[in-house]
Order: sequence, then structure tokens, then C-alpha cells
Amino acid sequence: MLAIENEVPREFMGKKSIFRFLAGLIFGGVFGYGVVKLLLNLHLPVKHMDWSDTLALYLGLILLGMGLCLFVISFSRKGVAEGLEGAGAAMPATDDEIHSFRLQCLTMVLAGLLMLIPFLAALASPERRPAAGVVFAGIVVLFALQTAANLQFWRRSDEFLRTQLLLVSATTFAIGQGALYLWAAAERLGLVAPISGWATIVLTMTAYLGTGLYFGIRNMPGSGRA
Amino acid sequence: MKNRLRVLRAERKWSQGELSQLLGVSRQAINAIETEKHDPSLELAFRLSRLFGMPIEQIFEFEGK
Repeated sequence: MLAIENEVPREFMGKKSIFRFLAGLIFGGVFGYGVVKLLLNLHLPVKHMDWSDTLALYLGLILLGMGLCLFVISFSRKGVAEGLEGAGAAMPATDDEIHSFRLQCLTMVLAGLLMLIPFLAALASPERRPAAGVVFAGIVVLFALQTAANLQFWRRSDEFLRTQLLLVSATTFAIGQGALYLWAAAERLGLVAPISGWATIVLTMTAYLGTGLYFGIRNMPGSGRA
Repeated sequence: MKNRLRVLRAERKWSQGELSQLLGVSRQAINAIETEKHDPSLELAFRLSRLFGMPIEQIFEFEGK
């Protein structure tokens, strides 16, 4: 039988798993501490937070945390190669692969910020609250940067990655359109309360992240046949 | 679609990374084709055929009627 390079000695995998677990624990601890410290300093009226703000908070932190975690990993060529190919990848990541990996980190971090800034700025206490126009101008700049990073990632992607991006987008659209239609119909009949534009985009982003994670896990190296 | 890509690659002692470099696609694409999660485009199938020096039918097995 032919040897496949993805087969890694069990002992090596064990040590590596423990190291990764500890590294994740340290990163999560530092990130969590920083977030709690920031939220306490902002003096947010947590009791008055809308459900969509709470969801946006979780979503933003997940995206920010994932983006920063992957950015740290991107400094290890072997780490990136194993992320793309699975444990025991024979060839370290190339410059191109590192670039694409970091582009993904950038889009995640920017998406996280775009989820957090609008409601954090709106909920900040009056003496700390910046002018809405200034915040919106900043949001437009971040959005333009994120769009440019997304477009660059698309242009650098091959047929497989583009298919995955289209699959995630199409699935999110189908889920979002169906859910929005049912809500709108119920709203028109006076059965449910109107939903805000902010809540709609937070739900759309939640569906996009969920769908992206589903397809990402499904395509992880070593996850078997679809 | 079933394929022999994993075996053909291992016969040449190429890693997924090396094969992806030779074909100009991502490692994820190679992995997805090997695990039958992705059927390559006609263009990529022809590039594989040229690289391994054998007809497409010897790499891929069409299971349809």
C-alpha cells in the first residue's frame, strides 16, 4: 500500500494537539480579558441592549477573535500549510498562500469591526459618544477596505474556492430570502413587530457565518467524503 | 465522480502542496478532488491528464448512466 504524507505518527499528533490547546487557551484568555476590559470601559447600558445588538456583539467578537487567531497562525508557514492541507503537510506554505491566508484574516477582522462599531457607538454614554457622521464616515472607509480585500481574495482564488464562495453566498441568500419573506408576511398581517434594518443585516451575517462554517468544516482536510 | 488522483500522486511521491503548485490551484482543491467533494472543471481535468501523461478516463471514473 502506498504511504500518504498526511499520516502522522500518533505521538507527534498528541504533543502537537496539547500545544495547540494551550496556545488556544492563552490566546482566548488574553482576547477575552481585553474584550471584557474594553466593554467595562465603554460603560454600555447592557440592560437596554436590543437582541440584535447582543447578537452583533457575539458575531463581531467571533469574527474578530477568529481573524486575529488566524493572523497569529499566519506567521508559521507550517501552521498555514497544515491549515490548508491537514496535519503533517509535507510542504510549508508559499508566499502566495500566506498572502491569501492573511487576506482572509483581514476580511474577518474588518467584518467583526463592522458588526461592533455601529451599535457600540450608538450605545456609548453621551460624553464618550463621537458624532454619528464621523462614525459613519469611518464605517464607510472600513466597508470599502473590506470590499477591496474580498475582491482581491476572489481574484486570487481558484475554481474550487470560488465554487465554495458562491455556494455559501447562494445558501445564505436562500435562507435569508425565505426567512425575510415569512417575517415580512407575518408583519404585514400584524402578527409580529417590524424588524429594523440593523437586525436584518445582523441576522444575514449570522446566516452567512453559520453557512460559511458549515461548508468550511465539511471541506476540512481529513473530513472524508461529502 | 471517483478518481485515482491520490494514488497517482503518491506513486510520484508528490505532496498535495507540490501537486497544487504544478497545477496552479490551491491545496484545498487537490484535497477536495481526492476526497470526491469537488469535481474539477474540464480545463483542470485536461491539465491533470497532461501532467500525469494519461487519458482523463484513466484518472476519473464517470459513475453516471
